[in-house]
Amino acid sequence: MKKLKLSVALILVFALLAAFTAGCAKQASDSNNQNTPAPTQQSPAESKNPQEEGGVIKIGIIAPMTGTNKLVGEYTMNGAKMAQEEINAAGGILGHKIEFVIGDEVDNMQDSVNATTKLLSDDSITAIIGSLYSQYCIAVMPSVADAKIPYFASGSSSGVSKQNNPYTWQVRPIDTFQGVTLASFAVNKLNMKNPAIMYSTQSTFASLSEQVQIALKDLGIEITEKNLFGFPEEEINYDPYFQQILAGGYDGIIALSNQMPAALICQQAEIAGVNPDKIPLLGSTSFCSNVCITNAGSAADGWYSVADWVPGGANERGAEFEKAYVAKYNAPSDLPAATYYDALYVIKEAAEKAGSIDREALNNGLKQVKAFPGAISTFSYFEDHVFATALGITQNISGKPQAIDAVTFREP
Amino acid sequence: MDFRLFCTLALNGIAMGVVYAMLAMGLILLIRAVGVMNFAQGDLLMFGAYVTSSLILDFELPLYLMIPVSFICFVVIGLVFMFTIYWPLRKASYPAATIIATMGASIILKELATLIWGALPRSLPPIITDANGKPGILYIGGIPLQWQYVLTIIVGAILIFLIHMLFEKLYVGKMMQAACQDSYAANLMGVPAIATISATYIIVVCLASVGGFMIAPIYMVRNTLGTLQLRAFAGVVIGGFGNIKGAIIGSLIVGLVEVFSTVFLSGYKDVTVFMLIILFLLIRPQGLFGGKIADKA
Repeated sequence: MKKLKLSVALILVFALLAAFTAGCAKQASDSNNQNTPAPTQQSPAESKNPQEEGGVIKIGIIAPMTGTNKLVGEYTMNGAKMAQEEINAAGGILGHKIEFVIGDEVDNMQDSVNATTKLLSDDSITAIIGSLYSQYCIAVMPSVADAKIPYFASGSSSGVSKQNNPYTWQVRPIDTFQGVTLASFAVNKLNMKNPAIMYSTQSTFASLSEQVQIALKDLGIEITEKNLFGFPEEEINYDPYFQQILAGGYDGIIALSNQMPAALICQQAEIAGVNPDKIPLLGSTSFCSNVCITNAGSAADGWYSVADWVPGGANERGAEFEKAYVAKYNAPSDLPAATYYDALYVIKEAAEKAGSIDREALNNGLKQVKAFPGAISTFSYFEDHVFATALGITQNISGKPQAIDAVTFREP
Repeated sequence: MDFRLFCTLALNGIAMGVVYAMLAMGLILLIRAVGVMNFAQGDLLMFGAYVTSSLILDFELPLYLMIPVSFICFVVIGLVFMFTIYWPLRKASYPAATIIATMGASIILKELATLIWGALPRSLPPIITDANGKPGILYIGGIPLQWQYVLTIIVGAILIFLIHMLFEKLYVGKMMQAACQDSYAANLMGVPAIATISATYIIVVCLASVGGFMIAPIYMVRNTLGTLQLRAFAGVVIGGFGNIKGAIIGSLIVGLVEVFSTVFLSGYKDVTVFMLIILFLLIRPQGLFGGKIADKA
């Protein structure tokens, strides 16, 4: 009986700890804020010049190296290593060879924040390429501002750019642009008038869902609560949602989620009897990802996707990247690989524009990036600190995503 | 809500409830047998699903061969689990040691599965398919019901019934429970506690693993399947700690509430389930069938 009581107490303590640590992550950021040295004080980056460290430029990488998102971490490191080898073989960045300092974010915000905080305290690091998960990036942004280090948030939430953090940058198209493109394609090409919007309630996709709803309303489509089907990120049982959609008379499905849920959504849509010939299916970028298609198999066929990364590449540079990736790893690439690959090349371009690998100079150099060809899209500096300029539209046919259109949402 | 939608949702809810019940029964059996709350119960389900997927996909065993081979694997897993996680710590001076060890086991099982089978999820074919190889559908009165859910309910119900009979009706089951409750007296009477505890662990692993195998064709085999344990725990709280009947009914309630909450509170499914637990803890902390346990204690 004692052990039983202890078990219940432990479970409650765990639940409390989970809630508490989530709060702590923010508190840690806030307390960092409070300890920020006055602007007149010399920052660690200024006090120690990485250029003096024997021809090495250290780049911090945050990725899930263990835990449930390990696969994402593998793609991430593959893309980053490929860029590292290419750049080092071509002489490095201003003569400095790239070296990585890797932080493992496992699969939760707490570890992600801890790993990033550790990298932020390392004065020898010139820039950091941060998490693919926007909420993790947002959690560390105050600390990034304190450390005055160029930080690439690899997520696509507009919540990152809305922070107006002078040291935070994004290479992927943010959800504002994705939302408009998704809505426009759904209405104008797929003739959706009454779509069901399925979305993960994770902040990135909740935010994307709002952008889609705003864009749909601008196109004259009325969206009510009945059209919205939010689900927790850890959801595995999508059948109840599909049964309601089938019974509700919706004329299309717009699904917004990460890659693993996307695979399950495709598979369970097929099992539930959703026929893409009768109900058009449109997904966020994850729905044309290699992870989704590999796992969902033929169930992924027929899905359209508005993609920031089109497997195989949507432009010349993207095609080159894919070819090199397949040659090196003997498998197709995916979004995380392309994102980290591009981020590293943008850092190189900025350093060369600035003529220095000093943190502050590099950060200013990023403002000089103009029409730089990347794998994801052509990159240019904009005031929102988002470099991407284009999105692709794909359809999965016979187990492969086919690029069917490209949308340039702003001129590079 | 029309009748067709109601039926399909109810089927889904009951199927999930049965899987939670299988996990919940395992939790109760271990609490009764050795007084340990097993935090790795969901991960045993995940590991069992990986094992069966490996036998089907990697070793390409047909179903009739896969079933006995996987049973042998589950027995081995159960024994390894008991002799590494419970047995060395059973007499530890710190009473929570065995419980904390199960938390460690949860992490080990997850990482071991990733190490052996990789980070990519695995897809298992459904047990019953149509002529095109697509998942089989059973039509009852014009209402389409997925065969995999129906089979999950049938298999789960049979297992739950058999184990309920074993522990509540049969002499062997009562002997096992008695031996677990007072191993000293049992040893004196010639019933080795090690055998009864081992048998309990094997049954627990079998229950969880079969649940994993049944849901794998729908939810894929992934190292996150262990999160289902939280629902089983909810079922145990609702039904009443230590009561098998309660755990089964509590788990079915959780499955149904979860599914029907998507109709009314889409996006707040988890909140609904855990609000239900809080309500029970506030209004009826002993659970639906808790009164009997208190009497017994």
